Amino acid sequence: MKAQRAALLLRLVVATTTVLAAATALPGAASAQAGKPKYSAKLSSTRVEVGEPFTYELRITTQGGDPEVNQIALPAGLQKVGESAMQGGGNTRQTVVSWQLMAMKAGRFTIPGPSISWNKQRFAPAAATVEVTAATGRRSSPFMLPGGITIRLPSDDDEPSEKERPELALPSAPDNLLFLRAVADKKAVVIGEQVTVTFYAYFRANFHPEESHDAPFDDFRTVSILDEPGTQQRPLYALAGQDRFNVKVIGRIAAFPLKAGALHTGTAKMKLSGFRMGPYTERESNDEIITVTEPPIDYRPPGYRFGDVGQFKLEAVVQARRIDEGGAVPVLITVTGSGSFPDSIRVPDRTGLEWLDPEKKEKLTIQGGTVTGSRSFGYVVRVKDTGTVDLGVVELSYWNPAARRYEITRAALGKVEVTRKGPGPAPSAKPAASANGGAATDGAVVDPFVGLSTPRLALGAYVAARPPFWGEGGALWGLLAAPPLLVGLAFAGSLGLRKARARRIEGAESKSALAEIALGEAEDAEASGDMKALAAALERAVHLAVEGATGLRSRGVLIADLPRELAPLDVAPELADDIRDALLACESIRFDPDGAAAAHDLGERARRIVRELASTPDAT
Amino acid sequence: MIVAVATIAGGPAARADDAPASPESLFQRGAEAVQRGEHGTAIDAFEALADRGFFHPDASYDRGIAYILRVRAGADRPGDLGRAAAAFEEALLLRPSDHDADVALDRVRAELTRRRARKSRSSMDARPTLDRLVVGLASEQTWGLAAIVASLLLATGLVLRRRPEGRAHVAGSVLAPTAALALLALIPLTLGARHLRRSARPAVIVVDEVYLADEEGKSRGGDPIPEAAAVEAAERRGGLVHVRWGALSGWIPLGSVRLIGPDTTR
Repeated sequence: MKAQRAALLLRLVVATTTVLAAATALPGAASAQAGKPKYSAKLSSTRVEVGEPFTYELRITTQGGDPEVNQIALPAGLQKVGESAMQGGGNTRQTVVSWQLMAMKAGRFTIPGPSISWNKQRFAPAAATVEVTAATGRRSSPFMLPGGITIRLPSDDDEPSEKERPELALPSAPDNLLFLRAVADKKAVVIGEQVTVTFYAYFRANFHPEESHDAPFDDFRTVSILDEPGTQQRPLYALAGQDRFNVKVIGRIAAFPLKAGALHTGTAKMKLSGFRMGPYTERESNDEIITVTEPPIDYRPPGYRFGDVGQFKLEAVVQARRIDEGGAVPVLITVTGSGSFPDSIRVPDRTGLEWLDPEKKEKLTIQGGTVTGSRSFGYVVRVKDTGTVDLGVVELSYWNPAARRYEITRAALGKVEVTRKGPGPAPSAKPAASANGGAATDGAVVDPFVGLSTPRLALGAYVAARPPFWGEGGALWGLLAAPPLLVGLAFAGSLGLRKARARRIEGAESKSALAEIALGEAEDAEASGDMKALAAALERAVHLAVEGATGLRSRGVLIADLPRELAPLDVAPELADDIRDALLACESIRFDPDGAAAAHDLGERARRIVRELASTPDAT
Repeated sequence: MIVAVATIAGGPAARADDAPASPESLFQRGAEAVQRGEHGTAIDAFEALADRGFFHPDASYDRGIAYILRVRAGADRPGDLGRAAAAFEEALLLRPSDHDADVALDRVRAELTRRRARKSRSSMDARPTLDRLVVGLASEQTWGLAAIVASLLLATGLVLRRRPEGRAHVAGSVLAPTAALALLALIPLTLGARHLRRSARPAVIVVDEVYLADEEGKSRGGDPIPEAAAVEAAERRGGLVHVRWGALSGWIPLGSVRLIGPDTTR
């Protein structure tokens, strides 16, 4: 029923475009018959596996009219999973019809060319042959290469689509017809933890993938977990902006990060063609960034290896319990569970046992979107000791992402009995010792580390080195500079004190100071009415002030000559005259002490003279 | 030969927090594994200690013994002797008076030299430069304390010089310049030791040999640094680390070197 509908649709498309071509054709062109049509048919691949899609493509070039193409007749064992048709051109018409096929069983199949009707004639391309081999489970391209299928809009025959998937909605559409989108289920994982990245095609027109490039997934180990990309999926739809897009899952990858950091999935690219998009349009998905860290250091078991993430169980089978001396014991260790399976197992290495490289086998499948199954390691253990030998315990430490904790699975290997064969040194005898190591003279291997196998059984006394007590800042500079600096400061302080003392003494003995003292005595004498003492004190004060200001010892100079002596010493003539008159007045009071009022005036005059002299620049 | 087949089922998964968590119990587990000859278990235990930042000279020594045990068992992997040397170097770094670690380190280096000689490879030994040699004579604290003492003596000398002519004055006249000269020498030594502590970390090469490269990772040629050689590791960029080996310096892959001791760099 579906096949009949498809054939009808195909004929409708061809007929419609034929009508359009006829309407636009040049006058007389419809009746021009330019020979036979050119046609060719090819397979996308002549060698495929069971279940692997491939394409049968028929290209026809005609002049002046469109051909009719009959449905392809497939031999038993092949089935059609999709088809598409395109037509275009002006007077020269191009018709491309593609059938997407898949083989259900292995074998060699011959596909007869579909018949082509044009201008009341029939043509058929040569038959094509395809070799189908058994499925190997190889990872198929998320974009359905080789061959690929045409992604088409849902038709009435399809199962009813689900309700709108809000988790697939986008605020805006990068393209109004078709775009690719990658979605990672987790953005932060530990090394080895599975991230599932799903690739979607959002489309509003039929399209046919021509060429595709997978996302590189550098720094990841990847497994495709989508069995039949693009087929047998219920149609989905989602809103992108205001537009409703059909959504198809075209790839799903289980990615296991190999290292820590911000890892990029890279972008997937697809070249496609479509009736509304033209030939060989390219689309690119977004790049997902996954933050990968190491699992926590707390409680990390000894021997844990980065990347061992999942849920596992360890089993071990020792296939021999009694061997002869020099024999070997086969041991099969099997890891079952799900997640990122360990690439190797840490065997109980010990002296006297030699574990040869294992033979690995695995049976891994995808269940519920995770890698599940078992991986086995077949070891051969050479036992060098004799007697009862304990093979030890095999351990596998892994990070359980669901429980967010480390777990350990163990398998005890038990003991084997090694029977000695006849007399002679046991094969486990230690090699000859040599004080200096190296080869012994008799050719025996000498152990260079003899005597070094004794461990320390307890942690002895130890105090961790601390950083210097002066810390990391500038305290060291302070400690270095402080002693000489303090001494320098002490010296400077001492010097300053001495100078201050000298200055103070000098100040106390300065002429100006003595003159002020004399004035003070004059005041006392005036208060006590002792005119003679007053005169003597005032005279002393004036003489001291003159000496302090000019350096002239005025006592040794005649009073009358004072102005002449003071003139070259930068004393103003008026002041010099005033000094002379004050001294003369002091002398007269000394000899005539009854002039009290005059004595008071003289005291004021003397004070003025002393102040004027003290204010000169050179006064001391 | 009688063959008997037995199937052993593995036990249920155990939570890792059932495993010993304290450094002392991990150390005990490793030491007992060494006694039993289980070098794999011993190495796992001591490496787990190191991963947790637990530094103790006895733990380092036993880690070296565990690697030597694996070598003696004939199950050694490339770099085991280098890792043993790194462990003994670390023991000596933490406890310089550890005679056993010193002897063990000598044995490891001697064995590596013999192995290189058997492969007709020359044995290279890089001597530290004079500045490193002098600075390395004592610790930063020792140089610093000596400088502080010199500063105190300088101050004392300055005080004594101020005394009137006599023995004290003479003593100060000798002490002050002498102490000043010593201070001029000790301050750079202290600063040099501090700079070394802050900028570089001791490390040991743990691969057969490694060539120095430039920042881009391009080899500079010349002699390679052999396994177990002691280097100074400084700046890290991506997967490379800048190291100094004697007078030579350059970049090497981070995985070819084992940093030892606690991280004192800023």
